[in-house]
Amino acid sequence: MQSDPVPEPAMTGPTAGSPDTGPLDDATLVARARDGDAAAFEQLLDRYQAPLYRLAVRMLADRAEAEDVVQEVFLRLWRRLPEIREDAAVVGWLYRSATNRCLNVIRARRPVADVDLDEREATGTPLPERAAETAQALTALGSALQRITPEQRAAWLLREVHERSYAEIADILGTSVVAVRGRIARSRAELAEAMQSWR
Amino acid sequence: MTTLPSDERPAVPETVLAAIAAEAVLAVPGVDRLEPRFGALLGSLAGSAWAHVQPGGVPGPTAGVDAEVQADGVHLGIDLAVSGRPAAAVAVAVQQAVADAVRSRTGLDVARVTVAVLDVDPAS
Amino acid sequence: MAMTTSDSAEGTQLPCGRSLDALWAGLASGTAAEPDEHERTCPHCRTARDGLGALLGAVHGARAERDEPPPSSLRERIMGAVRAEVRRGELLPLASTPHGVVTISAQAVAVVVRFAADTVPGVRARRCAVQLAGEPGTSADGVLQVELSLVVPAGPRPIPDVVDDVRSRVAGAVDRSVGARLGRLDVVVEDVLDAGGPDSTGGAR
Repeated sequence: MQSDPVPEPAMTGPTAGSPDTGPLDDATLVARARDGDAAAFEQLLDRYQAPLYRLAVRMLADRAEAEDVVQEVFLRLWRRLPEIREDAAVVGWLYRSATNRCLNVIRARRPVADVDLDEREATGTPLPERAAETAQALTALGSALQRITPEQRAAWLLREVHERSYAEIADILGTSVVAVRGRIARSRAELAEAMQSWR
Repeated sequence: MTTLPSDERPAVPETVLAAIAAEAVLAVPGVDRLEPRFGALLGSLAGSAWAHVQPGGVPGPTAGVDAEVQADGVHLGIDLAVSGRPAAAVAVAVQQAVADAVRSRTGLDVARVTVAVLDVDPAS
Repeated sequence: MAMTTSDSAEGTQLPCGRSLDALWAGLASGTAAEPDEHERTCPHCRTARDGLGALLGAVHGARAERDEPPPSSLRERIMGAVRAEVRRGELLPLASTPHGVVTISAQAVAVVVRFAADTVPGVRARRCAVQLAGEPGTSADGVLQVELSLVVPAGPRPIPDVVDDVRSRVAGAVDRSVGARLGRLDVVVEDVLDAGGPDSTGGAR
């Protein structure tokens, strides 16, 4: 199975923070950023902006909106550092914030957005060309994703692409693990159906 | 978990929440103005609804208010400038005023109101 | 052929009774890469396996996707805003209520401190560093520690008297304007200005 695009926070020992021990763990970076260390914050940004951006692009099918979401999430993180207590869980905070933000952007669209999916994809910034087979599969997945509900989409992406745990997804979406499992199973059926007709 | 599933959350746009909060903030004695933290620096590419920044980077009436709907209720962050009264007391009064206003006008739970005083008039 | 499924307590089911979730689990883990006897002949299972197989391929592609990085301008915008924030100074916790934390910018407190010191005749505040007297989130919230460097007038008042004046002015202003307690004030006298200068117009007490 492919590796997680999000590096898990390194569980470094008491030597974390010495200049020669490689990448710092999330908790250390959060603590330093809270003290006003912009370089530590920059490391968190470098670590997580790409996966969050990809999540937002797939959620919104619009790269400009996805950039806005990532910008907002990280500035929110910066301003909320004083109130974040679970330093090691910053990745969970980031995913929660980004997912939430995407769902809100979708809700703020025209209320009839569901019937405008094709138009939406057409007007959104086009995604780049990719190598043939994978490209076609990803494009098919991209349009299939826009046909399930935003909440289903979020649950499915967090589980299957970003490999978050059911408990974490339940927390992110403010619902139960049972509801998350149901939502992902339904999404999978609908996506498989769409992918089958593509193939 | 006692919160509603996200599908059942009432959808009040965050810009509306921010506007309600901004009005409540400005009515608290000792509040000189809202003070946008990043407003002067950042624009929005898509013009999406971040209350901090209006499209084009021009601070609007709700600049300085960051509203976010989460599973456990509305989270609000207020940045402001204080004049003529002790900043700590003004900020605490702002927390209450904002929580009351958002709760009574939207029916949404308010989970958190954080206030940052970014400027104090020293001559007062 | 279209895929037909129904939701039941056991999950999503195909008309033949097989569970879609079990099919997926077998495919995704590789433990059921090849169809079994039933799946080879059952049209529902064959359709479902096709769709799930295509989905699995796309999932692997999406997980590995690296060719769509966020633009570098995004990172620059975010860090530009953050660095500007750093220059404004740390946000010090003033109080913690059931609603959340109340903070104040260290820069804002420094402005109050310098202004108060300047009200002592002949005194000019220079550097001012403000921090919390203890760890955040403890009873130290709202108690500040200030380092202040000054230029004082060269007589006739003894420097310790002038500094005492500065202390009481600063403590009063921090209490009045910030609503915080001045736990500690370290004063460094950096320079002495000539008596008879425009600032030495006599004590204010």
